[in-house]
Amino acid sequence: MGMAAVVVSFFSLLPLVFVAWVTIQAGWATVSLLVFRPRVADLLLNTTALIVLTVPVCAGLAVALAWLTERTDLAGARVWAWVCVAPLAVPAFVQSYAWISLVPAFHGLFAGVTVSVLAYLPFLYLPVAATLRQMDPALEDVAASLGHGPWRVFRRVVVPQLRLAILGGSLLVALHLLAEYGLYAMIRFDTFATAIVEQFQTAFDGPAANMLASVLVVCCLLLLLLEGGVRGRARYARVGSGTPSRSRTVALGRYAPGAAVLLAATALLSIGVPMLTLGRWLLVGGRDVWRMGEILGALWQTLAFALAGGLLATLAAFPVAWIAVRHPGRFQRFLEGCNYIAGALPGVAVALALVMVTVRVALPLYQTVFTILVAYAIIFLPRALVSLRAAIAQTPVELEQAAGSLGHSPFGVMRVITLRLAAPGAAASLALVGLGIFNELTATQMLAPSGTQTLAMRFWDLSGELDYAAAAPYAVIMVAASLPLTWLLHVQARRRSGR
Amino acid sequence: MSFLVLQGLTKHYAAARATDAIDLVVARGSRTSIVGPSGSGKSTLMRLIAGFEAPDAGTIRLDGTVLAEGGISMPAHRRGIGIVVQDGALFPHLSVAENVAFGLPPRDAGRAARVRDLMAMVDLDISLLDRRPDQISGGQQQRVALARALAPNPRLLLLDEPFSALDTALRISTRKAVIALLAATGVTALLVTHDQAEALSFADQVAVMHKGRLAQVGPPHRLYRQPVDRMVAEFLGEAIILSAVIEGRAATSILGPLAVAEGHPSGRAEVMLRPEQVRVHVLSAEAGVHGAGVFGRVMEMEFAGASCAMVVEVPGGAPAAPARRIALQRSSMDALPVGTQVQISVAGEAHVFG
Ligand SMILES: Nc1ncnc2c1ncn2[C@@H]1O[C@H](COP(=O)(O)OP(=O)(O)OP(=O)(O)O)[C@@H](O)[C@H]1O
Ligand SMILES: [Mg+2]
Repeated sequence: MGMAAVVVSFFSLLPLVFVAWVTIQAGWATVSLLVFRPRVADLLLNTTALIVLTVPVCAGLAVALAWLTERTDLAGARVWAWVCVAPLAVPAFVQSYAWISLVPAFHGLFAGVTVSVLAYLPFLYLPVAATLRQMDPALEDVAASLGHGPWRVFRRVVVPQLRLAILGGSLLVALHLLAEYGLYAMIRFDTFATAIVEQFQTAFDGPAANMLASVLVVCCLLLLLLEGGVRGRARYARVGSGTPSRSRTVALGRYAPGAAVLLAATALLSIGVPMLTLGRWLLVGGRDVWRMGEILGALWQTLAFALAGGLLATLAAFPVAWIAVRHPGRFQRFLEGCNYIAGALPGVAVALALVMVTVRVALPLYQTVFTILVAYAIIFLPRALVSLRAAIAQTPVELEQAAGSLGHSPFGVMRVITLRLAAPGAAASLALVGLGIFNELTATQMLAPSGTQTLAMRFWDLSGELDYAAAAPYAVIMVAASLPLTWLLHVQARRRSGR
Repeated sequence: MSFLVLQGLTKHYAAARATDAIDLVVARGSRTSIVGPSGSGKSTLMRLIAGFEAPDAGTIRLDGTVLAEGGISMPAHRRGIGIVVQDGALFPHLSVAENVAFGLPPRDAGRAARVRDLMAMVDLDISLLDRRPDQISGGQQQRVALARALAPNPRLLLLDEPFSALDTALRISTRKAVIALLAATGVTALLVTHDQAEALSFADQVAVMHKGRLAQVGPPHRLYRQPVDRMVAEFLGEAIILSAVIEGRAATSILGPLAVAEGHPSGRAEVMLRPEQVRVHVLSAEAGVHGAGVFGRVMEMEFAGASCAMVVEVPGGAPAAPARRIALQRSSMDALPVGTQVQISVAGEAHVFG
């Protein structure tokens, strides 16, 4: 198990190793030549502006929406809560496809920020709403009794407790902003991810693309460090034992129409626009766009990738998760940490690393199913780890010991008990990773065997040819496939916090 | 003298009538405790007074100003009423010092000094000031919560089961400290508690709450000795309730003749004795028989440290009347073996339920 965990961690660190290696190999002169040039500065500026504008807007909007849906007497709050999570089911590049085909001149920073906010809002909404639900309302009451008005109570008591949720969500959003290719390529907003793919398509394995990837990876690491630094060692343990009483709902009164308008506007922009555009293109396309042979072929390939990649990621995550839960120690935590950091790296960097490794070290593996599956496993390993960890942690170690005392070998114990009991976690892992692969575009484009046509690739090619109508069925399938899992996430988040 | 006046205070929730036409008057500088079974509406009453909820009907007046009346309710932050709740509800993201200073005006030059004074007042060490709430003990947390509530000089202090999370010894010492502190500062206080001993020892005035109503309000000794009904009697301590025949100032019961107060109509009635009124004497050759007391037999004797719990069975008077078992306390120095024959006498008056 230990050996397996080390091997998995090594694989997941491949992109980081790659960055280091490329940099060292190229030598300082080349590096400075490739990195310190106007193009990189432009990209850096674009990316920074994107993050600096998107994250605060997203956070502010998420806090406002979460407060409205969780704490006020807003009509239909439960429906609105679901509406705030639903954009999760729309892949980011479908979101920007919806916008660009609705407003063809939608380009540049403003477009990038708008679509990003709409696409990634749920990443902040979910944790903030969950924290609001779990917050002890007595704290707000006490603050009011000490003479603070509602606004000051919100600022001084509620917001500080939301800090961890906001930070975590912001990090997730920022990492996605760095990694996303399709969304920005579609609206022609240049970021590192789009520039790397562009470079790669003109001259693959070129030093320029590699150096851009290095800068991107460094940006990701900086973000991780920044978040860790800001969070510090703060942990807001709830003091006291009592279960929190139900929080009071704030009567919106004359602000109710305004609140409803805010929610309706967000919903209209984030799911209304994709639904409208998709509906419109399906209408325009009529029956002609449903070329069933092509669509079913792509669906079949996508499903096969999703299933195989999900299995591989789950298998790979199992030793790491098992060791982290059963034999926690410094080294094990380090291994786990490696995997999380690796998971934070953009898929485009992972893909580029795998291209380079296969081309230079194991050419027969270049653009094979094996390589793309390995890439999926690396990119989505954290999703698998989270699910498996939770499930294994819930399996009492006493059961394993009991089975051992009844004469089963350690391996037998694992087969009979641990794997059985961790099955729900494995299923969750399979579903989460599978869905990720289902909607994955960038790494698939770069690594899949030639002739591969997944749903995302077909969609991308068709919309690239401005055949928006023909692309629509693929988008609809991707959204439809994502909906059940999104719903499950929404329900689970509510149940975990007791409602 | 009436400082806090509640009239017909009513609050309904969808399912329950949490408080139902509560009338209560609290004198300035006094201490009132509110006891009652779980779910009787004690916390709801506190929340109404604090202004966290608006009453459906009734009025709340504090020192002559109306806080709530006819659906209009002054928001909590304008009332100047401090509150300490069961688990302290300290702000987890702030240090002890910041918690205590939370209600003080910002950028006040005397802030730090005031925080120190308050810490001394609640008997806490200054070295705790920089800690986080989860780095101090439960008893310390309650004291910090108290200091925080007292910081803005509240007109009224509400204490909603503030000691119930503490263990027995800590709870008694904290309670004493709070009483001394309240006496020193002269703040009017209302204490909610489950614990009858706490209610009786804390307050000048005790209110027993039951199903959203106040069953009885009065000074502690009166509620203890002369409860209006069985519920109040049993809530405030062990009660021996007997049926008796009243005639003038005497009542005849299974424990023999009992003295009662004047003015009760003759006839059958229920009377109540507290166990400490019942004395048990051992029958022996030397001691002989004590006056007119009835005889009984020790059926159970359970050692409990300083005292022991004893059950004495008294035979029924008439042939048909069943025997009666009475639970009593006795110093464990005077424990008696099971089966001992005893004689029972009663000190003081029995209370007749009206
Ligand atoms: N927010 C609420 N929504 C609905 N019902 C409530 C709410 N708060 C209290 N109640 C109900 O009102 C009644 C009184 O509750 P309250 O909390 O005042 O009781 P309590 O006397 O403080 O009980 P305890 O001693 O257990 O703290 C209960 O039946 C309770 O279920
Ligand atoms: Mg209560």
